[in-house]
Amino acid sequence: MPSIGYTAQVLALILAVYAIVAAVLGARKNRPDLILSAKNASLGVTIMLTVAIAVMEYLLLTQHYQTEYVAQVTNRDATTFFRVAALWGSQKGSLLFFAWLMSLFTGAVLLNKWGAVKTLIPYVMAVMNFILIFFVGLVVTVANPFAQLSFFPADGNGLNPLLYHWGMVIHPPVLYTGFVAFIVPYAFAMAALFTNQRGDLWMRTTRRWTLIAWLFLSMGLLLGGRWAYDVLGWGGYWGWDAVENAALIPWLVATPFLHSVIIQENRGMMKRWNVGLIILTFALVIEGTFLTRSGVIGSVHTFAQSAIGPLFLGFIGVMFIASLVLFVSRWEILGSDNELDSMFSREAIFLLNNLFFIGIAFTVWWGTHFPIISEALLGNKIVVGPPFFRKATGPLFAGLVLLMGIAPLMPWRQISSKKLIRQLTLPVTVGVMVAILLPLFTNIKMKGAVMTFAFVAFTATVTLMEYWRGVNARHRAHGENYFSAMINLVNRNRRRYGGYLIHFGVLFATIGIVGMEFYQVETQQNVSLGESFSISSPFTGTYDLTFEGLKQVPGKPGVENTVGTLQVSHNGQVVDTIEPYREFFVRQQQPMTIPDVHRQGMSELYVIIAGWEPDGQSASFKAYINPMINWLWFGGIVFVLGTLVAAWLSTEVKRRPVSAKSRQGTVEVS
Amino acid sequence: MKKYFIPFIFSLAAIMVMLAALPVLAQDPSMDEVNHVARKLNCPTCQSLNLEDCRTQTCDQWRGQIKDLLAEGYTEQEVLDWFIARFGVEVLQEPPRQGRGLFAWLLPIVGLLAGVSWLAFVLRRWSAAKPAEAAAATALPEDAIDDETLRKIEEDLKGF
Repeated sequence: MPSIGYTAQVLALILAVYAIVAAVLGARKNRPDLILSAKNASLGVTIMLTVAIAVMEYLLLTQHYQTEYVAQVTNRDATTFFRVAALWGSQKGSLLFFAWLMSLFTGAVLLNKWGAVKTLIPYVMAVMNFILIFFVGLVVTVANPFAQLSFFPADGNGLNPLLYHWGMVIHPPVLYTGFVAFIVPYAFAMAALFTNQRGDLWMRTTRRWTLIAWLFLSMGLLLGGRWAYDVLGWGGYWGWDAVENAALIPWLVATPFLHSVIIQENRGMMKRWNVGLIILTFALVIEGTFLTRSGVIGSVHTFAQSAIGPLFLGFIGVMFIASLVLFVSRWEILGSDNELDSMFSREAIFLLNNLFFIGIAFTVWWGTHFPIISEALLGNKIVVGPPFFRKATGPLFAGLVLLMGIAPLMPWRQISSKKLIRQLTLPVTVGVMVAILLPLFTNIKMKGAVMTFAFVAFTATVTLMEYWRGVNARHRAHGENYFSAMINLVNRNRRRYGGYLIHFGVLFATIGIVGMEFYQVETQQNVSLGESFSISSPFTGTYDLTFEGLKQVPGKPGVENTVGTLQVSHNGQVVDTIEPYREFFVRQQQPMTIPDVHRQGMSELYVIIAGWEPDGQSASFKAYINPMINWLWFGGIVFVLGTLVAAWLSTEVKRRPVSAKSRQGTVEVS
Repeated sequence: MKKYFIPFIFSLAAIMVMLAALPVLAQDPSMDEVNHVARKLNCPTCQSLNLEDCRTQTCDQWRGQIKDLLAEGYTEQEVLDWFIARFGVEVLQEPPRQGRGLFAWLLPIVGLLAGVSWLAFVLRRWSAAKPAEAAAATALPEDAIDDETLRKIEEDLKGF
């Protein structure tokens, strides 16, 4: 059975190589038969990798421990669910999984009818298969998940304890999907460069693919944060860990891309910038995968250090340099159709937004790589932890919240100062009121927090005004009632109004983040049976926690659970009993501290058990009050909904054939 | 009586201060005080976690060390220095703002400044190009037509 899987991988590799040759030859010599053959070969790659995945799942489910990978990530105790998910539980399997997901996207692209952009498709195929060859090459050579042991072990090692959580099961596939889907806009951009196209056709046709990639990447980040909060037990959602950052950095570059394509579509500007951004995004995706897989930077996520590191580096180098060479060679073609008319225009604000995003991306990249860079260049390893990232990126993030409010106020090209002032009056008033009233009447007094909340209020006002203007206009023009006017408005321009919904999601999440960053309190106390300790925050009042006992309960197979019971009183009244526990994975000798929470509105009391005396008479607990934390998760949901609205097949896209045709005038094919 | 009043108040205050200070001197540092310092250090084994949040045995011992040092009367900075002396600056969560650690802080700032000046350059070049046309555009009566309508018209026109 394993040999079938391996053979399928090898065939996929051969087909991918053939597809590149056939596609390029077919395009150069104008031979449709060769192009068709390349297309079929590409689809063959998808099919072969699907076979390999099916074989791997079969081996995992039937406990074929002679397969080294199966023995590594499962054991007899594992449930079916975790057997299936073990596919991405460790390095080799996850590389195969990554390649397969990518091939699903290439397959989907090829099955789509492309009409106007048909000329690009052979090059798109070539680029996609080039990337695929690398990943398939890895699983065929140095990271073969079908490698066999010389004996048949009685049992396997089992999955890394950290991964036994639903969030950890969903998080990797979602994140990987986000990663691999960026191959679509990247491949189209490269194909457009190859064929000397100067229009924005590549961008328009892949718009929804890009949004979907971005959606998955965003969801992957959110799920990762939620998992950290639920399982890692340090009271937070984001640890600025190298691998978290590896997923955040591409997002930080893809987000300005999503914004600056709008400038190109509307004004024919920033062509070079957009091509540059998508190359950078995809290079960072591959680099992020490299960071996760190679173990060059220590992290809770890191899989074992291995030989694939240098190969990865080499590939990233080749890919990046080749993309850049191609990019620079088409520099002149990508000149702007228009120039900036005014500093006070949407274009200018978008440029500033791009700068902020790239600034944050660069800072995070730099901080993440600083341990390696300092070790290589300065001789000693300097670790850069969360305080650095917070201080260096916090103000920039706050600035982005403000820009998010300014941009919608600005029309394209320019705005007269009179009109700008009129537009700004209401939102600025709201923002200033918030800045004055918050410290007077609430517990929010720290400068950074007050300022950020003022920005949030300003931007929320602007965004609401945007909806209101549209709805009111429809109400007056078409006589629609406000509700259907709202529905129609969003329907008519889903990207715009979906985008505003995303902005609301960001604003809600910002509230939660400010609450956590500025006002989280924590305490650690040792208590004997019946003893209490208290924790208080101006946001929630005082909690008294009484230690009621410690018990050992059987957990999942191979896991010993030690549960601490605490009675929670809030301002003197008993409100809840919570049971934080520690899981101990016997085989791996690894503990996990799982928190329990008591919710109070949008805030949460979050408690973990930190240790105990062997007799069970006393234990130490760590308690946190996380003010406004649930705004973060709520914001995340709104964010995802907004992206779905924006990505949904909109009337705008349906109309595309007409506008695409009219735009062909700007496309030059040499 | 009156002349004893001030010395009396002073000695009372002194006693209160001493009483308040006594438990601090006698007691072990609290876990929160230990955590407060541990938060600024790296876990020696798992790298990405700080010493406060890590639950491994090594980290437990390190926190014990912090506790001992604090009990001996070390200040927070002295404890940090103690760790730096033994394990180098890489034990710190936040790179020092001097020497080699400064590079970590400087480059993002330099990068951002470069970005800002690039932006300023681009904006100047672009906006200097066409003052005349800009003036012509401003001459349009304001609000003659709103953005949304204009966009729709333009879009519909594309079909022809």
